[in-house]
Amino acid sequence: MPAEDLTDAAIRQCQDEQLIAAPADELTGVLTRAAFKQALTLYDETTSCQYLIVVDLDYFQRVNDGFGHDTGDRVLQLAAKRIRRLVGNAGVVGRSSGDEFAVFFPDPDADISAYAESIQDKLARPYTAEGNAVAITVSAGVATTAEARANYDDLIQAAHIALHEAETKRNKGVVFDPAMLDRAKFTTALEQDLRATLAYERTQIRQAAALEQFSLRFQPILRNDRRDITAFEALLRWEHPERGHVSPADFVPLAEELGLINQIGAWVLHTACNHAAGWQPNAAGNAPSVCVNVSPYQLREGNAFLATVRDALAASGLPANRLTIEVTENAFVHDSSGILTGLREMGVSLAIDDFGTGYSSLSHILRFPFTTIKIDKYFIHALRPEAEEDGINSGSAAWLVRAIGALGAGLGIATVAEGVETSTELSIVEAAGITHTQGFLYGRPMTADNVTERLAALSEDITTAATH
Amino acid sequence: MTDSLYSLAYFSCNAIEGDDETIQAEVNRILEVAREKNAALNITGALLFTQGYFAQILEGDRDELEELFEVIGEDDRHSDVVVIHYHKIDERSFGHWSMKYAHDPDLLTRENDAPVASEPGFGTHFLSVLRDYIARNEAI
Repeated sequence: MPAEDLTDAAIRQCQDEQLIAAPADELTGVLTRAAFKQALTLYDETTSCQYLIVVDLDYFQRVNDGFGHDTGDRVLQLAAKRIRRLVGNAGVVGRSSGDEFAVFFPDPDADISAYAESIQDKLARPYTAEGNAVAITVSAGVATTAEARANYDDLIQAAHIALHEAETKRNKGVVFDPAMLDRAKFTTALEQDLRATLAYERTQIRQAAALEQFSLRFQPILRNDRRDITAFEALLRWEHPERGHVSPADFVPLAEELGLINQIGAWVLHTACNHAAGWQPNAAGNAPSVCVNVSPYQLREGNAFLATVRDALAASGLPANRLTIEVTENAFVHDSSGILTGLREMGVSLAIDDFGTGYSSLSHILRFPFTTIKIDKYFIHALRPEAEEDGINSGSAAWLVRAIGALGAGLGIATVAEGVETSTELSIVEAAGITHTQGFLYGRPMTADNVTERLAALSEDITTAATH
Repeated sequence: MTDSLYSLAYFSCNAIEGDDETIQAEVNRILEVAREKNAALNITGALLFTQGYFAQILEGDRDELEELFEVIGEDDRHSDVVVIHYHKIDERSFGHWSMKYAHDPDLLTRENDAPVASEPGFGTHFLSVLRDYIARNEAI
């Protein structure tokens, strides 16, 4: 009979002091989750830097499904034994959830990376259980009391965060760093807000405009030969009551991950079309179009996405030829030619956004029915002499812009230079044969009201000019 | 003790460091311990060691095998353990051997290794499979 290890000692202490009724997990014999938490409080919290390792048996449900629960249970028993044999008197072992174990190391001098590595190595070795041979992989996360501020709840949470980081990256153990916690907390809070906001938007009881958290800004796009506004690009803004302005760079990827992007996207389409339907004609007598950015996730919705576009047009009364859908090159990783053709058949224009920064962009030009190429601002900013300081050859950038201008002219489609801020940039862009310009030179993104005012002022200018 | 006879075979990489002599001495120790332990547990089998790889076949009561395999699997003298087969058998193929040892696979094809070559049925076949398996791994 082996001597009592640290886990046995913790179980005995829980029993002796009547802290937890049943401290030992029935199946594996290690501490239950509740007892483990209790046991952690028995150790000196002031010690400088203690460690917690959380280890998860990946896809364990597949073992249960494939071999049956008896085999799954046996593997869990064996895994617990392997951990205990390995850590012995160095660590307290608990079963933190069905297929997950936690090990706390009270000694700050424990060689934690060696333990983490050995635990992963030993647990990933094959098992024979109930007549089956079972192979599994494991993920581990490590947290220290120093970083998790010595609060044991935080410690367990921190190790979980490191573990999930390891799982998403599919690499083996990841050591927790505090930035992960901030990121995880931010993501969780944002998710709740996002869901709440969307639920609110859906109820359509928006009595006060001030309560609307989502809004659109519009940035003008001008035609170079006539210098008149031909379109506005709709840009999504999220103004949170407490958080303030939340950048789309933060919440769009999250919304994509959570599967909420389609709801947000539908809201943007409807709202943008509604605004655009009320815009007055420009100097040439044409009302500006509206350009709406679409995520690859929306395109993957296939016919449901086409239906959303059709609904937005029908509800707003906006003619299809005044809507442009902007997609980035990276949206084409999945087969999307059907949906893009579907949009063109509806009469909607199609722009390839951030051209040149994605991959295999030129082949997309051949395969998909684009009506506009939008040159990423990276290439426009590369035209500046100061770009040379960043190792960019601005002379080459000018050739690149000319080449895209020639490409657009040859194909008979529009080209838009994004991010134009100075008249020098505008002259280079114009000389290169680029047909349209967007950027701070012509205006920053503005509210829907400002758009109406600007269009009204333009139309007044025309009227005034005509009467003199 | 369940009344079920199982056969278990695995393949692994040698993790014993040192020159050939040191490694062979350690393998001999493994065999010595295995023979003693297996005899007590009524486990029979064969061990193949060549060019840095182990292959072992074990036969015996299921629960005893599973317990033994836990100990073998955790042994740091090898790594990358892969189970090749694990299934029920009707009779033993290595009935006379608490742990038959094959060091040079070429020996298996020679007449002077009659004990192995004459093993009936599966055992011989299995060792040739292992031999091929190891040869393939050496090629990679």
